[in-house]
Amino acid sequence: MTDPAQKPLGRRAFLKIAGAVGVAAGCSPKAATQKVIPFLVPPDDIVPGTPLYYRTVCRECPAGCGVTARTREGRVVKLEGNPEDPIGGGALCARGQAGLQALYAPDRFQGPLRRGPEGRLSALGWDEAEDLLAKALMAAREKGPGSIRVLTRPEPGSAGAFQRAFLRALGGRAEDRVVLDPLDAAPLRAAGEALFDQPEIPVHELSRARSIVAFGAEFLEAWLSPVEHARQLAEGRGRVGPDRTRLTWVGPRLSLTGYSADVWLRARAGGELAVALGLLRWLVDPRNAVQDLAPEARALNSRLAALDPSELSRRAGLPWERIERLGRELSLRRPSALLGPGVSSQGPDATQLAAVLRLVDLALGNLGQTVFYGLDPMEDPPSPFGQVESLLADMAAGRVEVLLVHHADPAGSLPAALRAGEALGRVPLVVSFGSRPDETTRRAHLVLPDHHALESWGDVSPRLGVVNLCQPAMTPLADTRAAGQVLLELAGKLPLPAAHFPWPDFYEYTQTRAETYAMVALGKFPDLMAVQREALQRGGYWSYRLPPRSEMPALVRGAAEGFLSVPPPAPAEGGDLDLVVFPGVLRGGGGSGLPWLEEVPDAVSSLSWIPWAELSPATARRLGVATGDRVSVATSAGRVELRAYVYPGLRDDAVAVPLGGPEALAALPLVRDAHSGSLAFRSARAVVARIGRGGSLPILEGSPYQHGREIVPTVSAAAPSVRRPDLSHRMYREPAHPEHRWGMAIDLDRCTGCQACVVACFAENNVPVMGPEAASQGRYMGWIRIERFLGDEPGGELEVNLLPMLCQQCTNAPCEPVCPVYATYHTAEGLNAQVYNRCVGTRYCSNNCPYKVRTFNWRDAQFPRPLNMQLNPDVTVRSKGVMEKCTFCVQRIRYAENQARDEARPVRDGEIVPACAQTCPARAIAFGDLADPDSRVSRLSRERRGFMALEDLNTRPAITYLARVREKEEP
Amino acid sequence: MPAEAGVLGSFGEPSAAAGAVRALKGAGFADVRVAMPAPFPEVVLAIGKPRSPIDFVTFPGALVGLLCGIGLTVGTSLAWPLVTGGKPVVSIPPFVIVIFEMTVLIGSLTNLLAVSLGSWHGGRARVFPGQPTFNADRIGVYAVGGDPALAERVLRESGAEEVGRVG
Amino acid sequence: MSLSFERLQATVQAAHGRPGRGYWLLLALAASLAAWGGWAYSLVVRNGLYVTGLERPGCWGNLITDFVFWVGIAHSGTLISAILFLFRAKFRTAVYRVAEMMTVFAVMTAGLYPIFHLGRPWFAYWLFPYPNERGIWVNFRSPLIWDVFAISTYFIVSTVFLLVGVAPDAAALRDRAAGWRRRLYGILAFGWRGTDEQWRHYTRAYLFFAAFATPLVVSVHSVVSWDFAVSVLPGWHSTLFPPYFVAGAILSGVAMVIVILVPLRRWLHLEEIITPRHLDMLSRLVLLTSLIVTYSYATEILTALGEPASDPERSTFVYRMTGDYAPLFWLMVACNCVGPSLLLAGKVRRSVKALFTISLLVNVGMWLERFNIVVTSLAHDRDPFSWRTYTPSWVEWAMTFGAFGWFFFWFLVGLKVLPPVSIAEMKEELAHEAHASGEAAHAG
Repeated sequence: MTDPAQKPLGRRAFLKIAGAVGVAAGCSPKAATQKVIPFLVPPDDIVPGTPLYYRTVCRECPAGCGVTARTREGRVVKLEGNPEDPIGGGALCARGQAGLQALYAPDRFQGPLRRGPEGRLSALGWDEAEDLLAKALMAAREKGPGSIRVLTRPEPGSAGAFQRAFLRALGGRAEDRVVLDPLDAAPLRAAGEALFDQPEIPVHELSRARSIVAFGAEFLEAWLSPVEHARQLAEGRGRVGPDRTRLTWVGPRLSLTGYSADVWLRARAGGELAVALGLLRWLVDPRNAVQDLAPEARALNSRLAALDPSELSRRAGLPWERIERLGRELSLRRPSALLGPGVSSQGPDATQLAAVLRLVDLALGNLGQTVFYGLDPMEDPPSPFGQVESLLADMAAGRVEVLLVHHADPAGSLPAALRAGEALGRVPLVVSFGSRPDETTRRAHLVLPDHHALESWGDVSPRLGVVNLCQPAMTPLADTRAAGQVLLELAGKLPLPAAHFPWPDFYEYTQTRAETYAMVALGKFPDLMAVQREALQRGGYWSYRLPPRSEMPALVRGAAEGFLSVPPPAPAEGGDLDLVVFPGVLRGGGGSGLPWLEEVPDAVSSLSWIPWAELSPATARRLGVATGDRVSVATSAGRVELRAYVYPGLRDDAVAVPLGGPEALAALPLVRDAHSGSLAFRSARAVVARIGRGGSLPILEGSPYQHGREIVPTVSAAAPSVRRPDLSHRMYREPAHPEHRWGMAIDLDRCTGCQACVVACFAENNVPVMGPEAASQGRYMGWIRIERFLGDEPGGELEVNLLPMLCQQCTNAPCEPVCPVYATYHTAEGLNAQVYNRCVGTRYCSNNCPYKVRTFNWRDAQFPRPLNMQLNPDVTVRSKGVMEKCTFCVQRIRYAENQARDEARPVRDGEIVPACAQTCPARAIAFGDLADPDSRVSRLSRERRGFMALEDLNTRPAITYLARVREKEEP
Repeated sequence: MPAEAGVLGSFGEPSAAAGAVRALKGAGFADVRVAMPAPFPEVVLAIGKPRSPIDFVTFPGALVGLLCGIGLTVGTSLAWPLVTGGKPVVSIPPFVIVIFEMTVLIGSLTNLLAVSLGSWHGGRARVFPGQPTFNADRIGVYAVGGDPALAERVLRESGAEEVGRVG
Repeated sequence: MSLSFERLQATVQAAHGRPGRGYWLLLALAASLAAWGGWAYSLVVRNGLYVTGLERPGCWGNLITDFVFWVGIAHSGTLISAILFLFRAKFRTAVYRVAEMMTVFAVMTAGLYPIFHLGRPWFAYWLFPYPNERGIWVNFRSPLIWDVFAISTYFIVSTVFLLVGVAPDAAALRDRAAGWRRRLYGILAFGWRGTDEQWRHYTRAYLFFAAFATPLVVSVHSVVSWDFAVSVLPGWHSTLFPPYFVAGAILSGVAMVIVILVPLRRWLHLEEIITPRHLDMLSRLVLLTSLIVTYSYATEILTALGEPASDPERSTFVYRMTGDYAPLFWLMVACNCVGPSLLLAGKVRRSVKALFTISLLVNVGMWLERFNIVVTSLAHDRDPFSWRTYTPSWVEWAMTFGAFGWFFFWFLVGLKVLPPVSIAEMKEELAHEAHASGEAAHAG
């Protein structure tokens, strides 16, 4: 051992320096590091760095898809579908993906709140809050029945059952509990009851349908079970020829669902019924000699023959031949499915439309093939709209003492004309279980925040034979309490016979219910513990089967006749344009206020953050309006200001406004469906006037036209393969890909543009949300965008083509050679790597990228607490001044490769699934190894429909698009 | 160092100065030195010195630059071979640009070095009297050694405005 | 003409006289402009480029335009001093010193902007090849690296060229100056004595400098043009760019020389040295390069228009001429093509006012040309869905004007320190003229 003094850096010197550095570090102003794992004694099942998955259920909409929650170090970082769940089948929609941000929402209530005399909400303890509520309930109970009311979202499971039990215990009547679903498809239920004596929402199996006709039913966006529908439709797509599912969209506005359609019947608003009647009339007309029609349908001919085709076609706003052609198609292509009404076609005649469509189903023998009754669990269906209205009336009249609001927002999700806000104001005690501020909690006196679904126990049965279990994936973030638990504790505080509630806590209650499920599922009395554990691991109890035709209900004698007359034309006053309101795929019925859903541009208008008013080019010209102008939309109900968006996919006699946010609701007059009494979204006429220029618009699209560049080619039975440039000449030798060459195939014939992939990418890759200002400046950061082309040239034929655009991972990537510092280069696995910490931000790569898929960090990304808890620990958060882009989810690739290495085996095909591919409801995205000729992606990329984006540039992308099949006429 | 003994004449006219130089040479003065504000060709001609040899420094300098350029581009590309844009790791055409710039840079820097050294050495080898200076408008002709008287006469005859002995 | 060495040197030294109020005013103006730009840039450093108007696809804008513009300005100097020297064009003598000073300061300005526009300017040094802990070198395939080499080489060489040219003059001034000036010129003179031995090496070396600088001038702006030409962007990807850019650079450079000389000869009373003949020669140069530039515009547009309507190239050029930026395009044409063509008339060439105005407009036009190339092409790429227009924010404008402040600040300082005209070469020239006219050069 030499004398340390002789060494340049001796041990002592080193220790001195080390100590000094340590002190310096201690003095550094940075916040003290927090503990990575939020508990003292880490449980065995949590290994830092390895994900842990929990199966639960999505509560963002009533469809009830199963969810797999990926947790890291005790925090949920990503939601994915549950592949075993029969509803979602492993996929999630954009809203399902974004549910995570409701969990980490910065504005979540941190604990119980009480509104003080000065009108501000202030915190209080749970016991105090419950005592307070218990007292109020006792007092109200004295006032007799009806003075305690419950307003809840549909809770088809324990929560709902417990609410009912609780209310019963309080001596309340069944109708004192009102179930509110603003977009409830009540007309379907009413029609089922009238025709088949089955007050049910029918279930569709679209994969069996050869032709689908959607009468304004946004079945790929918000109607009933969009994820399931998208999957079923996709099963019939992606092939050329007669056995490809055809879709016809009927309505005044070409919605995102309409984008998947082969034919758009531009029926005027409210003309859907005329089309349906005309269709039925043509089918049963003996002169058309339609083969094997249902006899009870033929019997309707006498009534239908009375309908005058010219009258029908005038009402429909369509030439009669179009209806005939549709009839001919449906008579030949069996089975088929007729969907509707959706929100945009739910007018005063909604039930009649639903009924006529069912009759067409009946005539064509679709019942039991593509349309099924007997699968509605009848578990907590939404109350008839009349009940909602009478509740509001009672509230307004001061007949309600205590109102318990459970995840319902009457003030924010119902037409302003209902004056729900004022009604709430008249209730002495409004108790909300909501977890985030909304119009109702703004008026609530007591807020008892519920857990988020990812923090709570429960169960949802969206369908007969399907029970999706809800279990906590992480410890609650805030001092919240499960609403059921609160009721249970209240029950304890109330002088009620304890016999009502033998359960120590709400969890036990859900378990006892689960036992019954288990028994139903297994049919015998099993070892419950084991069964329940397995169910929790898998995500639910499923004994789901489609009933055979024989079990389909028969038409009630004479029930049909009432629906076969043409209703009187809607009154023309109120304006010169039909008001079309529609639910968005991102915002659904109501504005969620979740950053991802606000930031991601709407697939139709490519607008984000704001609502808008769509006008057809002709109408816009007539009114002197251009995209971006501020316009006023005035109806009998009210006048709202919106930014205009000129959209060729709309009839000239209509103006379209998206649901979500107060605007559309303010413009909706209070009109009811004549038969079911449910809310009619379609009926209003509107006057649109230009107010002025609007300044910059948060819009993504530059030009929605292809300008003759054939960016998105299509194929047809006549021309089944895409014309591709000859790129056989090579200047340089192909870069070597010794092991893998990762690639992707995207089937444009399946893609519905639902944006689920976009939101999933935000969640997986820590893509920052920049906000409305940035959006209007072109600083949107999304790694994938859905490019939507409306045709070749402005004013030309409307032909919508979608193109999910993401980094093409080119072999000859133009972005690479221009980078001065090697921040981006071609890896041995064929990825176009972007090395953030090498990047100096010249942005030349973005300029030279013909696909413009690289995004630049114009400023430091902002993740307001606790949204930062959602950040994926496997992915860097990029700093300001660096370029970023799609990585093919390289973290997932590495994870799979490492696992394969640990198990000493090659990576299996389909083992690596990027976030976008994982969540795609239509399964349009395939990922895999192009170096392996037998991999799925290789096979797909060899298909005749295959093409590459801007292929003539010879960038040689790793992404192959499969061209959409477009058949104007049925093959 | 001090200038050797000699006679210094100052002229206002390049042609005159040139004449003087020639005359002095004719009179057998081997070492005639001139200082002038500008390189008047006739004078330069009269002195009849061979062309400066710095060519032999500058050209090699440029060559060194060329090699440095090649070494830098090719060497560093091979040090960590990264594929960009499907192009070969050693892609000559773009490298040529950098190589060219290196050639020019190092070439002209050597040139600078060469001229400084050259004139510095020249200044030492053939010292010129410090005063008066000849940067403004006069041209100084300086005959070293020989017979001072003869030098004075020749200079005067050649039209020198002032003539003086040095050292 | 009759101008003695005496008067020549006197006039030149007069330029170094005690500065008047006007000078200080100009200097203050320039300094505050530069400071304003600097403050604007500090916003960029603090808040990121969010404060600019840049977006996708418009990732480049004013700052890159400024870079190309100032590199262009930097070209006249070396052109006049080196190329015209090799061509033995006599008229250069009177004006090349100003042009060279302009070159050096313009490169000093241009060099800043590539750094300013970086997302992470504090890592700008990563663009230089140096052995580093990351073990990675620079990507020599990237035009931006060619820029780094071209610009820094150009800066060094033109500075050396300027100083070498200054040395004899510095010696001349040194002998008559006192105080700090004497010391300064002592340094700049580099021990110059003007002996035949020194001249022998000097003249040869000067020739080499010129020989090195000449291809360099051509290369530098070719490299700058490759920043665009090697990309795949319609409107950038063109083999025409190098000659087109070099001509444009010379056009803007010479125009700038005129813009500066016209007031300068008035202010420093250099009329005798910088005569109308000199201006006339420069204006011919403007005319020539303007014609080349016009031809390039025409070639680009006509070849593009030859393509089918669906061709992105064509679409981009149609967009330039008729789209959002069309007014700028036509203003550019007016400034760069129409204006200089007036110089065909000798009367216009001889009218100092007209010449000044035209040259000023040419500089506006050349800035617009670069703006048009950079911005319109980005705004109108291959994928129509990503089209988007770019508007500079006030921050970028502040930095753009700050550049002029910065440039003129150094130029004004330079005027008071360096001889604005090459005394030695003027003397040589005068001597010859005198010789020709058989008249004693110094009989004044």
